[in-house]
Amino acid sequence: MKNRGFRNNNSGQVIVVTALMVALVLLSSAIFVIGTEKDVPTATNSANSFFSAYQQAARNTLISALANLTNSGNTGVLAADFSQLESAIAANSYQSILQMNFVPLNEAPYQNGFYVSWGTNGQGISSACVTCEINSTGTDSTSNLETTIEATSQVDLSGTYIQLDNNSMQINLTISLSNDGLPALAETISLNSENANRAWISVLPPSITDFGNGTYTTSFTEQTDQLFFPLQVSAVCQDQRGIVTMANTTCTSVG
Amino acid sequence: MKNLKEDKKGVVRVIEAFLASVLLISCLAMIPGQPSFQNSTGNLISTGQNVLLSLDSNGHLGTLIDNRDWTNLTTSMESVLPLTTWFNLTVFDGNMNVLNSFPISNGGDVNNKIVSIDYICASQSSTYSIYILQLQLSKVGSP
Repeated sequence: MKNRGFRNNNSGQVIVVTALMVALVLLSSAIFVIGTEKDVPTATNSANSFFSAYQQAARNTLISALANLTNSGNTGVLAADFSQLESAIAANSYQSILQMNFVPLNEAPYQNGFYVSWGTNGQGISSACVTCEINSTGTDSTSNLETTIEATSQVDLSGTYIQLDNNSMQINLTISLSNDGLPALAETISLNSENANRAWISVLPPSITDFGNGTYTTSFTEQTDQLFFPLQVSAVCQDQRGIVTMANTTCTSVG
Repeated sequence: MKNLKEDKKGVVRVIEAFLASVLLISCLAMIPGQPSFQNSTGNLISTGQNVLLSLDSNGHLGTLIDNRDWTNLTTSMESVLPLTTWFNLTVFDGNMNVLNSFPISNGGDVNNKIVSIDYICASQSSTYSIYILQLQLSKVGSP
């Protein structure tokens, strides 16, 4: 049998070896690319989710302060609560150094972050607003959040009355409640009317109809001689967040 | 021009080698990549943060803690987390005292790869409170 040398070989072994080496290079490149894709940094997503949590905590703090203020609290509660929140966040932020700044809005109609307008035109507004700035400096990224957080509860009241006879009349009221512009449910509703001595007296209607979309209606009968005219009524609503809003209106006669 | 069969320079072997290489690369490319621990923990952390955020979005989380309603808090966590995820939630007050009187969990841990998420929950109640939540998560059945 003829023993052929590598140099004398005409069957293309060199080309075969070269082809295998090229294949190995291709394979190495493919493995390297796959490995690189797996190490895509995810710092941005993580920072965003932390910011979302801080934003939610700030929003809850704002609602708590507004609920406190509208339940006979004082405006100083906003600064105190946010100071407490800043301390808690700073003490529990292990992945980055945080700088926070919560500033109550002081532009009209807001004052010290609050706007409470319980008017006589049938509309009552309780609102609070802060600007929030958070800077996060971590080991692999620096992020910044600047946003405005607002919480508003609004009640709209309208009323009519019908003279039933010489001594009594039926009063019909419609109350609409909204939170941040969206229909909201009430926790409690209390009604008052102005009596003949121009003093506010509590009204206890037999029932309040809840339409489930933030709208409530009620009817009750009063003695005509015990009321002051034009007839004034008021509604005090506490929404399910604990924020109180009040509105006064003048009822119109419909018959 | 020579016929392919009469070729003496190993053209067929070269083609065979290329085909073998392509086959080899294809087989290797089809091997499923093992999910790295870093990726799976990243997903768990993201899931945990989203779960706590969704429960807190309307103040529900703070209300449950204000009322010390641990049973409903456990039920809420069970309803929003996947069945294949083990959890253990610990609620602390501002001074890091544990508030929950019994474990808020769906059973004993079954995996030694556990991620921990810290979450600050502010109460919407007019009596302001801040709670620090520590949520531990683990995938059931993963190695």
